[in-house]
Amino acid sequence: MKTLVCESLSKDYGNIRALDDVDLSLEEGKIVGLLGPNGSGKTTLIKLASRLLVPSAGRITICGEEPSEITKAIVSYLPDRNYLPDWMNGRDLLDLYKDFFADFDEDKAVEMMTSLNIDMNMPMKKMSKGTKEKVQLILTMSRHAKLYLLDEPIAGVDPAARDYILRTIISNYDENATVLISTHLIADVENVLDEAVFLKEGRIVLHQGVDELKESTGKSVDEYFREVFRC
Amino acid sequence: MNWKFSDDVPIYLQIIEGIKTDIVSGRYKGSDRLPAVRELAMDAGVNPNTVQRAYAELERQGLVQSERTSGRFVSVDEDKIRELRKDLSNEYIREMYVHLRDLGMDDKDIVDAVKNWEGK
Amino acid sequence: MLGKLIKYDFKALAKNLFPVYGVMIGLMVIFSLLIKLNLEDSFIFVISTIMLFFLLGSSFMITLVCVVGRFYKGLLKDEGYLSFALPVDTQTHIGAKVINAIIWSLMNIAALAICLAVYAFTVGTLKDIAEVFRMIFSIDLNFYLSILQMLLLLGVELICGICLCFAALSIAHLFQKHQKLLAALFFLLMAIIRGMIMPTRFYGDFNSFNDVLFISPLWYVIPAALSAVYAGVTWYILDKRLNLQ
Repeated sequence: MKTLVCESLSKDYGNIRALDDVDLSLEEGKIVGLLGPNGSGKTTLIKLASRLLVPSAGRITICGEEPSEITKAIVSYLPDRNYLPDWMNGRDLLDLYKDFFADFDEDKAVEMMTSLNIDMNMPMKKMSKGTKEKVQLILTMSRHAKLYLLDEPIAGVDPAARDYILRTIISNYDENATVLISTHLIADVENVLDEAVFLKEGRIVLHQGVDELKESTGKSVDEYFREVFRC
Repeated sequence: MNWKFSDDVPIYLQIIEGIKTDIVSGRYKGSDRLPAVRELAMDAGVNPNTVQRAYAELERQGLVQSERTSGRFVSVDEDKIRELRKDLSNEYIREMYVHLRDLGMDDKDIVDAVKNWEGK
Repeated sequence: MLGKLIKYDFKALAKNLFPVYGVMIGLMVIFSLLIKLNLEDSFIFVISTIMLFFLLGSSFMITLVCVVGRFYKGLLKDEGYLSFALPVDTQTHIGAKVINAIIWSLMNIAALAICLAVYAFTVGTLKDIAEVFRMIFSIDLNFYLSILQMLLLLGVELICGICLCFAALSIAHLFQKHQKLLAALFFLLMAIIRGMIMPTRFYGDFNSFNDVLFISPLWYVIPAALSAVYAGVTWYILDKRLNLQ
C-alpha cells in the first residue's frame, strides 16, 4: 500500500521554483529520510503533504486522497518551529489533541510526559526550548497516524536530546505507518532509516533503500550525500 | 549489549554479526530468548525493520527459531557453535591478513608476529 | 468540529478579555461606592473615574482588537501550523472566528450592562429604579422597534467590519514583508470603497418617539453582501494561497 504518492509535483513561489516535477512513492511501514541541504525543497514537500501549501502543478496524494481535512485526520505533522499556542499548558494540549484527533493515544502521551517530569500545569511560554520541542514530539508521536511528517526534528538539539527524539520515533510509530523525516544532518539519522530520498534544488536525485545504498557504494549515506552535494 | 555501528556496512549485517558473537562467546546460550524486535531496535537506536531483517536472516541460517507466540529463541548445539566460531574467526583472521600484508609482511612474518605478540 | 474550534478560541480570548471586563466592573464598583459615600473629592475617585471612563469608552475597541488579533495569531502566524493541521476545513475555521467575534461582542455588552446595574443598584434608591422601569414601560412600542432595528444594523455592521479586518489581514498575507502595515492599508482602502457604495440617507424620518424608524433595506443588504465578499476573499486566500512563514 502506498502512503504518499507525488506525480509530477511542482511548487512555485512567485518565479522561484521550489519543487520541480517530483515523482515519489512511499510504501507503508517504512522510515524514510528526506535529505538535502537547506533550501532544497524539503519543507515545501512536507507542507504540500500537510496541505499548508497547494501544488502549482502535478498531484500529491496520501493513501489515495488529495490533501484535505480527510487526510489531515491520518497525517501527524511536526513542523520545524514552535507551533503550539503559548498560553496552553500540557493539560490543555492533551485535551486539544484528544478533541480533534480520533487517533490520539492520550495514555501514551501522558506516560511519556510523566517520564520526562513535564509539569502539566506549566504554560508553554514558560517552558524551555528543549522541553517545548519534546512536548511537540510526544504529541506528534502519540497519534496512531498513517503518515508522520517530521520536519527537521533533530536540528539544533544536543546529542542526548537527539537520541531521545530518535528513540521516541522508532518506538512509537505505528507499524503500518510511514515516517518521513526531513533533515540535513544525515549522519545522525541514517541508522534509523529504511530509505533515503535526496533532494537537490527541488528535484529528487536519489531514492533508494539504505542497505542497498551501503552495499552498492560501500559508503555511509552521509559520505555518499557529501559526494552528491559537493560544492 | 552496547551497540556501536560503523557507517559503511548495512546495519542488519552488523546486528547479525553482533548476535553471532554473543552466541559464540556464550552470552546467549542455546534456547535463550532474543529481545523483541522493538526492544532491540530501541536499545540499539535503529529501525525496527532493520532488526526484523537481521532476525529473518539468522532464522534462515538456522541459528534462531521463532515460536509463534513466545518470540524468538537461539537454537544452537555444540557443533553449530564450533562451526560459527570458526566462521567468525576466519573472517577476523582474513581481515588481519589483509591489513598486515598491506604493511608489507609476508605470511611467515605474520605467523611469527602473532606468536610473539606481546599483548597476549 | 465548529463547536470545538469555538471552544478553544473562546478560551484563548477569555485569558485576555475577562481580566479587562473584570477591571472595568471593579472600577465601576469603586466609582459607585465613592459616590454613595460622598467621597467625590478624593484622589482615588479622580484616578478610578478616568480609568473607568477610558475603559467604558474603549472596551469595544479592545474586544475587536483581541478578536482580530486571534485570527491573525491563530491562522497566519506559527500557531497556524497547528490550526491548519487539524482535520477541519477552511470555511469552518473562518466561521469559528466570526462566531467568536459575535460571542465576544455580546460578552462585552453583558459586561457594560453589569456596570450599569452596579451603578444603578449602588447609587440609585429603590424608588429611582422603580421610576426608571415605569418610564421604560410607558414608552411607545414603536420606539423599541426602532431601537431593535438599530441594534440589528449595528450587528450587521459589526460582522461586516470583522470580515473586513479578516480579509485585509489575509490579503496582506500574500505579501512577504510589512504585513501589518499592508493590512492597515488594505483595511482603509476597502473601508473607503465601502463608504462609496453605501447610500448616505436613511430614507426616513425619526422625529418622534412614536414613529417607527424606517431604515432602507440597502443598509442591511449591502453590509451583508460585503461580508460575504470579504469572507469569500479570506476563504480563497487561506484555502488556496496560504504560505505560512
